[in-house]
Amino acid sequence: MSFPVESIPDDDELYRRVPPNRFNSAGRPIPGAFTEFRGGMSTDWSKYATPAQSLAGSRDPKNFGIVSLDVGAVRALSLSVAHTPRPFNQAHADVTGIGDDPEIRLALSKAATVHVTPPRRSVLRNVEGLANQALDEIKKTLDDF
Amino acid sequence: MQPQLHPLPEPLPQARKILARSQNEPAVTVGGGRVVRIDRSLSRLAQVIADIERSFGAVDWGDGDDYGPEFLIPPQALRMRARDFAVRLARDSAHLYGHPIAAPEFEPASDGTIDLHWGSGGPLELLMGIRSSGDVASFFGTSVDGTSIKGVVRLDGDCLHLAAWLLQGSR
Repeated sequence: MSFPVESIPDDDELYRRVPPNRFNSAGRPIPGAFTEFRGGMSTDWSKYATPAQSLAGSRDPKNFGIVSLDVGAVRALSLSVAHTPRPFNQAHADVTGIGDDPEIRLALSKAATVHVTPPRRSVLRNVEGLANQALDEIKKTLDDF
Repeated sequence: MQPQLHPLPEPLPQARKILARSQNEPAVTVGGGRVVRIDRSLSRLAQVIADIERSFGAVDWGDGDDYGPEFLIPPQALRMRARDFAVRLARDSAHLYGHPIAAPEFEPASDGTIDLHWGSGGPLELLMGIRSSGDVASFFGTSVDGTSIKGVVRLDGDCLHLAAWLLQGSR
């Protein structure tokens, strides 16, 4: 089934699914959550999706978060927003023009509104190993200094 | 409050010497809550390097394909490249300015690159994207006073203007 391509108004929103490791400890999305993949940053247009519906489309809804971006704010960063419906997702929209510009990614991370924060994953580490690693690094640095 | 001292697990010979001559110097906390003491003049740098290791070790890089193909995992070589750059910038700024810049956050970007993020959410913020290929990194810094810096640096070159910019906030 194919859907017609429509024009997305500035007053609407885009929902972006974000995995837990792209949130910081304050529960905000990091700039690394906003990059392009295969020609665009994948989002869902609020005309055809709610945050919950967008979240349901993720690989693991229980462990993903949802943030939104105002279309007008995205375009104000000189980015393009285009409706790119998929056969099973009429809401799909792509943001393009981000490239590898850290200013744009930082601006997007600050502009985003968080709707769902995912649970943080615990990262178990060998603290003994870390202690030795840090000591080794300090030793190397002092040798070089 | 004085930090509690713990015996270190088999210190390296060089580190043992540093510890031996520095028992009365400021404490530096390393991984696992352990504390070492080193020369006062270098303790700040040592603490920053320990902070870098701690920040680096706490990153959830992702496992396999668990977040889907759209969220790439930075390769190990790139992670080490980012860590080494952060250490070098701290060391070089300590050498030149007598004050190391703070440890950044290591943030995996969805395109498989790594962002070094200094001062996240603070009055002085700097974001630098480290890629697997190429010798340069893009950066952008912004300050609450309205000033900003933006450009590209060589990873193996002189980046001290970035350190100087970040040090504004710590002086």
